[in-house]
Amino acid sequence: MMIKLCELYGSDYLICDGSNPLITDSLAEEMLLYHIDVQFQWQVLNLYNQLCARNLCHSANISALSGGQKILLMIVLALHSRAKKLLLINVFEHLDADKKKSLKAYLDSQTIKTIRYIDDSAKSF
Amino acid sequence: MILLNPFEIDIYPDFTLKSKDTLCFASSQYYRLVGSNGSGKSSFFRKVLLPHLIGRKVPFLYFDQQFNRQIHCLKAALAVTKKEFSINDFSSATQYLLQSYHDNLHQSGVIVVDENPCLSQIIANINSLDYPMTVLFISHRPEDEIYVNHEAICESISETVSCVRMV
Repeated sequence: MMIKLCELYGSDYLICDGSNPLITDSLAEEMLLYHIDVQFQWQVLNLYNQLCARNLCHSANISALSGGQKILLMIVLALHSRAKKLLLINVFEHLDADKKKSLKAYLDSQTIKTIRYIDDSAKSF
Repeated sequence: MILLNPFEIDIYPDFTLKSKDTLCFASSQYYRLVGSNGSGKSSFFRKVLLPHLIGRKVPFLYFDQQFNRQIHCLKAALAVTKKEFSINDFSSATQYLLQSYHDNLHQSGVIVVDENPCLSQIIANINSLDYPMTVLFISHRPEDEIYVNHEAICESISETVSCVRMV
């Protein structure tokens, strides 16, 4: 299924898969992968800390985050990347009710990115 | 019956998982761990429960939160052993794991499920067995609420994690 999604959306969407939210153990490295400019990195931290009620810093070891927290971080990074269109796959089912509500409200309120959602985790492999 | 002695484990520098009480998980019971993201549910499985089961040689089947990684391992194992079983998705991988457990062990044990979309398939499979299994699972999916009814008993595991037992 992922290969099909890449074929369909890969040319103009940043594909964010909740099954594999982060690649590295370091927030600084994830920032590099998403090409987030240094002057915007504090915005990533602010939004993440606001959504997650945590106090994550730039040098954090993100392997210590829980599954849901990793997904939230992936989304926040994607929102601050240069991509104009995001495809979010299986992101909500791993979040508790409060975080799901906060995230949905935030995503609905933002107008900068075009966001599509796919929730079909049983077939996402 | 699984009895976990009181514990206190540092998960990461600013987070400790601890229980002052002995925790008891009975055979033929289903338990759902409840808590917000980052409260320590998966850490309880990985750092407390699974080491306990391994140390006491209790048979168990663990469905990891990132189950897709387990599927890659299963496919590699199947390729080496040349067993004829096609794993294409979560459902077929789940079926293979359950079938392997029953074929090789055929005895009571523990099923640990950390946010697997095939939870209903797992529970249906376990319900058909002629030996008791203890099930502990985590799920934030609304559709999995049906596995915990209104008479469920809620007990504290730690300050941030609770356990709901199905009755």
